[in-house]
Amino acid sequence: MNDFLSMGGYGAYIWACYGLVLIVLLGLGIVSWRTQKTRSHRADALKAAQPRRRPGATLGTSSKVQP
Amino acid sequence: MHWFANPARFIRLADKILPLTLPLTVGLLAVGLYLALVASPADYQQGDTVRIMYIHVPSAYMALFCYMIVAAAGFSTLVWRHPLADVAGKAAAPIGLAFTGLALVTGSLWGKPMWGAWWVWDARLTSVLVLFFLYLGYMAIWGAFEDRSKAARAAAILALVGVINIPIIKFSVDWWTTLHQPASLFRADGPSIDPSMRPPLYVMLAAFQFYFFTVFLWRIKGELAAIRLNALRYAGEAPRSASPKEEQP
Repeated sequence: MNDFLSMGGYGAYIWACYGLVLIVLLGLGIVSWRTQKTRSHRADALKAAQPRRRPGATLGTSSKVQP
Repeated sequence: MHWFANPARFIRLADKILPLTLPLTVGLLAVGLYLALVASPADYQQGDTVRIMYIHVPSAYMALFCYMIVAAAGFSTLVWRHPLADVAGKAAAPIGLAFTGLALVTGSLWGKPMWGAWWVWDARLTSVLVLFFLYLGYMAIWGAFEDRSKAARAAAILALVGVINIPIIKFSVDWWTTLHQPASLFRADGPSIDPSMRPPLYVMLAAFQFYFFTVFLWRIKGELAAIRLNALRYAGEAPRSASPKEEQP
């Protein structure tokens, strides 16, 4: 096990490389995943809270949504 | 390509692809790490530091790959005004920035024990540093404009101008005297690297590639959701400040 960790004396360089790659890739992945989740939840919530109305529709004529 | 122009359709497609790419990324990464750190031999000259290659080379490859995506997205933003192109470019750039940074840092951590220097100002290292700043500039332009379409066009122009750097990076090791070794994998006459070192390298390349597609799709979904959120906010404010035309009976 110690042999594996020391990597022929180059352990510090090698483990620093692998650790950094994993931290950066994991961090970017988690941030990207969470951002899209929270944003689409917020958009869905906002859409549900808004009166259903098409952008071009005339105000006050009908609450019925056209297909 | 215009089939993808509908964001809802694209998101449905992405949601079908993601359950495949995410486990593939994790699986390939696990196998790749095992091959790279345990199952592959040390180099006769470089000893165990050769293991840095299995993440350094894929990182550098992905740094270039991401830039090609950003540049292609810029091209279709400017030429065809494809509605998803600027979203794709904006989504790919931070991934490219991360891989470029990792290529630089892992290279530095490999250079110190093998060359005796953390950094040398030679053609390969300098041109990759330029790539790093191109990504930063591209992302800064996106943040600098209020108007989305203006930002998209300005960023696309920078991305296309920066394409000149890609062949410079690729051929820097042939055109100039450099400490960096020449290509040993993507060569016209086939890979010159020892067969025992090929499997970990190929598996890690595939893992990084699938990582890119997974995170790329997440980031595109995030961008599309941001656009939708903006549109909904705008629509939510519209009734209070309705235009005169709308108030006509």
